[in-house]
Parts: sequence; C-alpha cells; structure tokens
Amino acid sequence: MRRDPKYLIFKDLFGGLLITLKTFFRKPVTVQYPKERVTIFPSFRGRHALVRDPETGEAKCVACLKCVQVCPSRCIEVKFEVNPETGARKMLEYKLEALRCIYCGYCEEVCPVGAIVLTEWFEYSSRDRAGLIFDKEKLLKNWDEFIAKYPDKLYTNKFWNLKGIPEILKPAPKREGIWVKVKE
Amino acid sequence: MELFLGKLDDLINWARAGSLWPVTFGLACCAIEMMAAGASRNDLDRFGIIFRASPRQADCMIVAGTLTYKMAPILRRVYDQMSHPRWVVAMGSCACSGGIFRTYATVQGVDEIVPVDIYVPGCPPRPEALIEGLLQLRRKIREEKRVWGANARKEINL
Amino acid sequence: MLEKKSISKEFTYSFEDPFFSPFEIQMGPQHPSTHGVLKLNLVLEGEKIVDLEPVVGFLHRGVEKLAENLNYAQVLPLTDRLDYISAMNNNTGYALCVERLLGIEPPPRGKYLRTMVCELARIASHLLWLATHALDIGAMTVFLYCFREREIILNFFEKICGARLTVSYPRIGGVRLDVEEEVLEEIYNFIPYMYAKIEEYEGLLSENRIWLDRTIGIGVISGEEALAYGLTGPSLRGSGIAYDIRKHFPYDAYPEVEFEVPVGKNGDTYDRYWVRLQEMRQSLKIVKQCIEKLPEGPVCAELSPDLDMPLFKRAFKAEAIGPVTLIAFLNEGMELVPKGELYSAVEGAKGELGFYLVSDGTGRPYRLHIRAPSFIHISALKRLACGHFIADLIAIIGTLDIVMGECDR
Repeated sequence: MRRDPKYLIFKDLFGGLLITLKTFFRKPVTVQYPKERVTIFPSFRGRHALVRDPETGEAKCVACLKCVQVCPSRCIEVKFEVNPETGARKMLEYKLEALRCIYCGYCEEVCPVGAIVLTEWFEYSSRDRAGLIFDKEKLLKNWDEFIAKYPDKLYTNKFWNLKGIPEILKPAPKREGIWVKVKE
Repeated sequence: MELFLGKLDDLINWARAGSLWPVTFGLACCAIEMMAAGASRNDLDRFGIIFRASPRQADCMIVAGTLTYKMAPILRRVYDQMSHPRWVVAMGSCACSGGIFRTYATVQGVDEIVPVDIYVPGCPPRPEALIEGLLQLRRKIREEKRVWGANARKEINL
Repeated sequence: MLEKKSISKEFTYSFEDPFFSPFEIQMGPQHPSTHGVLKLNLVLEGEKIVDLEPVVGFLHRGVEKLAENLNYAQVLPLTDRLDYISAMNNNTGYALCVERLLGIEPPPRGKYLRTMVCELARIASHLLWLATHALDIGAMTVFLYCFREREIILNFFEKICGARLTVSYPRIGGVRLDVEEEVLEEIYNFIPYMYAKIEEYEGLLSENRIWLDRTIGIGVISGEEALAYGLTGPSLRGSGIAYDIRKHFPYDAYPEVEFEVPVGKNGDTYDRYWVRLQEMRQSLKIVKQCIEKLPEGPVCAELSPDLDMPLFKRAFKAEAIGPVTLIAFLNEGMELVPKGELYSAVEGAKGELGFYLVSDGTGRPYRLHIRAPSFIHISALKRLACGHFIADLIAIIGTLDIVMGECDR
C-alpha cells in the first residue's frame, strides 16, 4: 500500500480536506438560541398545566384519580371531598412534583375530561426545589401563560384526540376528541 | 470607594460568567442531550462554555443523569477537587430528585451530596432548556457581591 | 516461579523477570470519553496493557426490581432508559414480549410504523456511535457532522410523538398514535439526503491513512471466539458470522421488507466500523420500503391492555353493547395476563436485546429480566485489549459500543 501512487500524493487526506472545505461555504446549521428559536411542533411534552374551563373559570378536574394511578413515578397527589347528598366529587388540592416527572404523557392520555395537559413550554429552570413543585394555582397559572402565546382559537392536543386507536380503548368523552375554546 | 468596589464586582462577575467552563459529569441519558447542546445545532461555544475534563480547571459541574450510591463518593471527590469559585447545575429529573427511580440504589437528588445552584427540569431536558438553565446561572453569578479574594470560599451548611 | 499468562496468547509476563515492572492504575468512572460510567482496573507495563478488569454497577438503578411494582403499561417508560440512545428498540422489545405472552398481535399499520421507527432509531444510534468513536480516536469534525444529522432524526421523533430521546411511542399492542402525512413526506425526502451524508463520512474516514493505521488489526477476534464470548449484533457480524434476529426470528414487519445483512471478514475494528456504516444504508432502504408500503387501518390492537390496568386481579371491565355499558367484575380466578414465562429478543442497535418475563396472572410482572448486550460485550474486553496500548483500548471500548445504562440497568 505504501507504493500506491494515490498514497504518495496524499489523495485520501486531500479528499477529506475537500469535504471539510465544501462545508465551510455552506450555511451554518447553528440556531442562535436566545435570539432565534426553533419552532416546536405542537404536542411536545413540556411543562404541565391544568386546563381552565372557559365557562366556570376553574379547573376541569373531577378527581377521578386516574392520573394518580397511572403515573409511573407517582408524582401526582390529589385531595378531594365527596358531597354527601349527590355523591359528586370536588377536587380540593392538586400537587404535582415536576422534578419527579418523566414526561411520558400518560396522565394527559388517560384523563377522561382533558383536565391536565403537557404544554410546549420548556424553559422553566429554577434556583431551588420548591419552585418546581406545582400546586393547583401554579398549574392554572401555567395554563394562562401558555394560552397568552397560543395563536389559534381552539386548543387541542394529539393525546386528546388519539388518531388510529380503536374506540374501545379511549375513555368515552375522548372518542370524538376534545377541543377547548381559549380565545374569542 | 463603594462605587469603585461595585464596578470591580461587575468586572469580576462579567469575567466569571462569560467563560464558564464546566466539568462534565455525564452519567446517563441526560449526557446525550448535553453532548447535543455542545454540538452543531445548539452550540455552547458561542457562550464561552468549553467542556474541560479535569476538575481543577473547571468552574462549574453539570450533573447529568442518575446518581447511584456507588457513584456518590466519586461525585463528592470530584466536587472537592474543583477550585473556588464553583457552582453546580443539576440537569434532569434523576439528578434533581431521584426521578422515576425510587429504589434502593439511587440517591434521591444530588443535593444530598453537593449544594446545587440551578435545577433544570425535564426528562431529558431539551438542549435549549439546558442552555436556558446555564444562562440563568450566568444571571445568578452576575448578581453576586464581593465574592473575591479571601471571601471567595462560600461557607456552605450541608 | 510465578508466571502468569494473560489471555492474549502472544504475551506472557512473570514476576521473576527483572525487567518486568507492573503498574496498576484505575481508569475511573468519570472519564472524558463519553461512554458513561465504567471503571477499568488496568495493569500496565509501560504503555502496554497486561491485565484488565472492568468494574460495572455505577449506574445500577434497580430497574428490574422497580418493574415488579408497576403495571405492564407503566414499565414501558422505564425500558426507554436502558439503551437511551435508540429508545424505540427497547420499547418494541418489551412490547413484543408482553404481546406474545398475551397472545395478541398489532394490526399491519402498527407493525409497519414500529419497524420504520425502530430503523430510524438504529440510524440515530449508529450516528452517535460514529460520532463518539471518531471523537475518541481524534476526528472531531465527524462528531459535529453526525450530530447535525442526528438532530434531524430527533426532530422527526418529536413530530411523531412529542419527545426527542426518551419516547414511549410503541405501546403493548401496537403504537401509541398515528403519524401524520406531512411527517411521512418529510422522512421520505430525508432519505436521499442521508445517503449523501453517509458518502461524506466515508470520504472523511474510510480511506484515511490515520484511520486505517488506528483501526486495522486492533481488537481482532475470530468468529468462533466471538460466539463463545456471547457477542451479538454488529460486533459479531464484523467477525464473519451472519446472525441477525431480524432474519432468523423475524418480528413486526421484517418478513415483508427486503434488506441485506452486511458481514465483515477479519474481525477487527475497521470491519466493525464498515459493518455499521453499511447497516445505516440498509436501514434507510427499510425505512423507504416501509413508507411506500404503509397500509391503512388502526395502529393498536383492540385487545391491548389499558394504561390504567389494575395492579391486582380484582378489577372490573366495561363493555359497550349497543347504547348500554355493561360493567362486569372479574373474579379471583381470572387472569389479567396469562400465567407463564417467556423470553423474546429483538435486534437492538448494539446486539440482541432480550426480555425474560415471568407472569403470575396479576397486573404487574412477577419478574422481568433484561438481557443487555453491553453487559455481555464487556466480558470480552479483556480478551480484546490485552497486549495493546492504552490508546488502542479507547478504540476498542468504542468499537464494542457500550452503553452503561443498558449494562447496569
């Protein structure tokens, strides 16, 4: 191999350098982060938020505890009270530890009324641990912050309208899909 | 006199924040996103952040991934070998709290071992989220007062 | 007379020899090459490695024990974190194991989508392997180029299911969501671009004299010895044995797509590199066929278990019969998942990834064991590295493609 003429004129090394030189004149792929941002495709699994019902202004959660049961890292805690006459449940407290969460999306997939959602917000680092334990008020505020920047009038999420999954596996209100009106 | 010390503070903090050199402590999945943050699309070199291998030459430590009890003494040893001033960023769910791994072998949060300055949530956090966490660390460094000279060793109570 | 023979046959050492001075050093768990937390106890003579002992367990998180406390659907995000570089393959392996135990099969569209996504994950894994391997040997440009392509693939994953790295996209019984048409078109247009990029990597590395000097003849292992050590995947195919689970025990849509299995000749580092590059090309061929042949229909089987499957046997099951919903209670004798044990394997990006599942009828596994290829490849490290220098050791760790998340579980 050492006598091969291609070896003597350094053809392999120059070939590599030519490739690198060609890349030098192409447009760089770097996205200058704080000034330019990448557009996040909808339904990215980011910060959690409790959906505010457009009529009542409160959270939609009915305290069925399905999200508590299905979370693989057990990061959700819900306290509720039962009305003695009607038997209806009312959610009192909702605590979610964002530092335990693995962002799998199971809670938003299994919720029958579409009360919890994982928004596309991902810039929320904090200086202490207590800032990342979300209670009900903080989660509703997350929703308001997210909706302030949302362009459309109706909000929906890929995990609320599961395409391609047979009907029997979806909870009943999700069979036609859930849309939430967020702006007039 | 106060004005002079204030300006000196600004200068020193600007210099420290502008060239933050982390020692990589990439343990698990978050290490891959940390590598992606340093690679072509989101370039950390624009911020002056170069990954150094040795703790003696580094300013901050990014703990990326799950910390187990077997690895904890080594983390403490590397942290002790870093020279002052030093900061710690806990990246990802497993480093901040134990994450999904509530088991016998996992430390439930790196702040049981070292003091943490910034927590970056996500599993794993996007590279842009890590960059935002580092930018917040820079803001925190800029706000420090009189941390130089003999005062550079911050007393910590663990 | 104390004489020790190291495993590599051409190199023996003896403590009586006056010129022999062993030097023990630990290449500790935190080192700048990016292979995770692996500690190696090395015995060196000068720069030559005489003995090597790997110490693993620095990332042992107790995944198998944790799986005994979660139900079958909750274990799926946990398996993401094993071989975190190509997460789709682990999820598919686990989902396949539970499906075989339950006796259900995903619908055709679900199978094709799973195959397509697994092959994309394999390309992403090989890109990261090439990036870190080349970076360790010294070629830093290749690192940046490979990550540029990897970002595009992770972007596709984000568009399909919402997360980049630890997706939980396959589901027991199929896939979690359907893919939109625009995303399929974008992946289809990406394929010729990726072929051009693989040509670029070959132009940079394959004939480069520095690369050839550093990889030919390093870490040679013959076919029979590789089989004896239990190597699988590209590490085995580099030594001449064509064993691929996608051909021998096919699953999902692999019987219906055509592809070849590249096989190397000498069993050294250069051949393993060549095998992985050719595998990237074959994976692109599979992705193209999957998109062209994608059938219509649902993506998940009707009998697949619910996400909030109960942990214990006592449960209720709702059936919709016309306008009336009947709720029937399961009694203690009925099983949520049939009792029994099963081992099933898929071709992960690193080798044969196997799941051994023991079920006792309740909603959570009785025992889940994961056969991780990286753990088994580390046992061959001593045979491969003794007699080489430390710089070659870095190349050998890179070529075996070791991921500590998988090795330690």
